[in-house]
Amino acid sequence: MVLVNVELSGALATVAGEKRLTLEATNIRLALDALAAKKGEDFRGRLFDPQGRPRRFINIYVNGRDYRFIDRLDTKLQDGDVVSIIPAVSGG
Amino acid sequence: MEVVYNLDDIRLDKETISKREKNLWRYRELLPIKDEDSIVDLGTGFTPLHRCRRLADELGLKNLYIKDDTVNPTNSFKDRPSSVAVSKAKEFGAEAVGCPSTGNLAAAVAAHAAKAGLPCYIFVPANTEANKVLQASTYGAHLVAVDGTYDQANRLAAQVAEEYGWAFVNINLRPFYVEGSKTLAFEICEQLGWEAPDSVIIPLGSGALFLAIKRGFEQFKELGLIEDKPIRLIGAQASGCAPIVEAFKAGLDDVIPIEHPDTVAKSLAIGDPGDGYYVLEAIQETGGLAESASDEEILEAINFLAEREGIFSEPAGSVTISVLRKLVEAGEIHPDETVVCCVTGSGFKAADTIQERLGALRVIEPSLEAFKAVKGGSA
Repeated sequence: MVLVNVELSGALATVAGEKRLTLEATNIRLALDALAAKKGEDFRGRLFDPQGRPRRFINIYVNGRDYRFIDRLDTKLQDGDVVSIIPAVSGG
Repeated sequence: MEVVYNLDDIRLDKETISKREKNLWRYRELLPIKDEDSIVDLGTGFTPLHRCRRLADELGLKNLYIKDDTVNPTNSFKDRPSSVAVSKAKEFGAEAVGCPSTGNLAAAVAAHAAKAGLPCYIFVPANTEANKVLQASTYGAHLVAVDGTYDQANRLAAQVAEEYGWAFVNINLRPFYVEGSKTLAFEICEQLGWEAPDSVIIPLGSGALFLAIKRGFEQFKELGLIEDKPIRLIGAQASGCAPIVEAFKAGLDDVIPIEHPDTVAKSLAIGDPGDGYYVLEAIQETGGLAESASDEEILEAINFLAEREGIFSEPAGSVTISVLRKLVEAGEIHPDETVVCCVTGSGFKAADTIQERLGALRVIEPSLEAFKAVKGGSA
């Protein structure tokens, strides 16, 4: 069993009602699906666009590295990995 | 989330604006602050719009202007969004403010936080230019150097803002923050005699400035303050970090992020531009373009601009001049167009980088003979 630690922030944490939780998932796609199934339709709508893709203004990191630089939704997860889901930020 | 104004209820005319103080708060009805006592103002905005005849002659253009935001209080356009966002933080009663920054925002937020009497926390990549760090630190901000890229500093700052509930201008105050930059568009129109330009060249980092300028022109059109004519918006990036330009040229509808940006234009070294998708849309909508320039071209443009127009730009500002030259050469800019280049930060910000290109200072004896020996042929 692969257990990963998920960290949420911003509006996603508010809607989810918690900032940290543990899920069972072997890749990012499955982790996001499990998260949406657990947190309900409102949360799902904030996480995914109508085409079922993660929304543009959400960044996802695996142990601090952007999932798009690894294997996007197919990025494999190991036991104990930290998946951070954070709103994108403007320039600075 | 974004700020929406009911423009039908806003009564604002040219005469009223013209009589007001020369700073960005002259457009206060179009800025998202309710309580005027909350306004934190260092005199930002209403920066010069220079008519650049020497540069224009050399490029074969008739109406070339530079919007010179190097002369804002902390020497970059970032004073605009910072003034609005720190005012909003004050209005909200925030305990502390802050931001992740490539350097310019750091100084701008730190200065406005000092004026507001708020603690300030800034997260910068460890390779940020020394003068930017020096400036922000001097205003009394707590500076945190992150061993990583801007995107990584961003991520950490987002977590810190969440953990402590602080008001981070480009994170949880983002909808208000981005409103400040649209005043650049308002000023361009007012300074052109309430006329809209034909084309505007804008540096692209995250893309937030580009979209703010677009929104500014749209609001002035809607209020009838300028004619409703097309304005072409052109984005400029450095080749070492050009995800938006690359997506534009490849005809993609979204940006592919770059993990390791590598450019002297450090203010633009944002590999994962948050507004990239919307910038691509805006370019399409306005009939605009996106072009990049190499580090060499960007550095050369600093001198090209300084020697002809007396404006000292950082690399992130001179990129608009490099792109202008390229587009003129490619026939993409018509000689009769009214073109505005946004020069968004002072050369002092990147003194280390610019210094590398200059030769050593020649020292002479204090005598006329010694001067004649080094004078050379020019007058």
